[in-house]
Amino acid sequence: MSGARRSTAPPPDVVGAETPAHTLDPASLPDHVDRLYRAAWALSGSRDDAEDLVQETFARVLAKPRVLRGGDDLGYLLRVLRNTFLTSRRTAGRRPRTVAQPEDAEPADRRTGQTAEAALEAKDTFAAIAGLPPKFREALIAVDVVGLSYREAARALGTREATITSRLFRARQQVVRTLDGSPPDGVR
Amino acid sequence: MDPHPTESVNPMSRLHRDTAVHRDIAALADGSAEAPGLRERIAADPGLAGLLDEQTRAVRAVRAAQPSAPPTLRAAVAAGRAAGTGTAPRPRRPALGLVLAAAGVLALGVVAILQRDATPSVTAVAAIAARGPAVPAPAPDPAHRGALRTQLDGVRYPYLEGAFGWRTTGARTDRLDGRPTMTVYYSGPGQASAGYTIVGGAALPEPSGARVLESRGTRYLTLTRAGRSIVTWRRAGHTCVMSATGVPLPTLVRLAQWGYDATRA
Repeated sequence: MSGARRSTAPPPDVVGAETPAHTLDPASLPDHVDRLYRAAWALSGSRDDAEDLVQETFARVLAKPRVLRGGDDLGYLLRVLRNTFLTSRRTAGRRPRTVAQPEDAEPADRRTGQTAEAALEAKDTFAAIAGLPPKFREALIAVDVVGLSYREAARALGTREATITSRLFRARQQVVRTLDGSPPDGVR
Repeated sequence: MDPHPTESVNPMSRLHRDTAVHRDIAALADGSAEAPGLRERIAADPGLAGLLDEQTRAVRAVRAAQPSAPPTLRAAVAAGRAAGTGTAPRPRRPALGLVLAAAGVLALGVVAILQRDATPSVTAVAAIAARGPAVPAPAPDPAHRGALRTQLDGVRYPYLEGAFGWRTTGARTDRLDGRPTMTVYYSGPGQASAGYTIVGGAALPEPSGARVLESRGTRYLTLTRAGRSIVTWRRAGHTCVMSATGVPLPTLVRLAQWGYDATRA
């Protein structure tokens, strides 16, 4: 069944062996801040942790020149972000994974100029994502939050494209059921 | 993987749990692909329709959650400095500014050498579009249906709101290696944003390694650079570049195709 989809799929982007190696341009990093910030928020479930995580990610990336194969800078940054997150979780084991806490609720994000409604929706959505099992969460973040193609996401997460899509399906299902207040997948 | 007590008596439930179908529905929900006949099957099957509805609502919810990075974070990154709370050791932090400055100078030098006496690349054009709008959005042209009033070298920019709901949000003009460029920005669902750049003068060389899509006599080349999806093609001998972050290439191609047909000179 999915073979039919592959046959009609539009041309994927050019990445991997077809694209020559290049050095990651530090000047391009600010272009990715917003998406990495959202990814970090969805990973950690905390806005403040997200800021730290993005800063740490850029600090690692800028520590030395990075030669990348393929044109997928954002996929690379996401991989570093994920690794940084996992490392920080290991070294700071005192902190459990953060899911939305009632005391975190704020009417609006003054720092980004969001409306109150948008801020609350974003908070709920990111909390739902942060509560997913890690593999589902990473697939959803790569595709829906960061905007990578399935192929780029598969490369960034070191798995197959079909696996990404299957995880993405399950992740979305669980997110929507969480937002709806429904039982998680497999229960209903 | 997901035991279901009714599997043996209800073949539809097996279909609903078919991972291949799940993948097709996931791809349909985010617009990345559409399997032949899938919509018809969904229309005839409330269970599949429910699955698609869940996927679509999830995509919509995530795409609607678009908080921008706080200015403090943006400034810290732009300056190459870390200004965090010390949640993790950052021994190289004091040197980041120097690293960034040195890397920037090196990059500029390399670019200057490579681009001496050269025509600009499609990637460089897309990089300009990433800077964002500098002037207000041009208005639709009542005399040319489906086009904006703005044009470069006689090549008009498309009006995408009517057909796709992509609103015109701004524009900018630049010079790249002496070539005039104009970018018009469009905003789509979920705050997606794309830049449509036309380059003045002769067409630029096609980017190497790009995927080629032929459609109604036009070659659309697609690629991704620095996390930016890029589609380039030619109109009236001019290079057009549509680029965006967070917008799937198929969507960009559709927008590019529509603009071409509706506004070709």
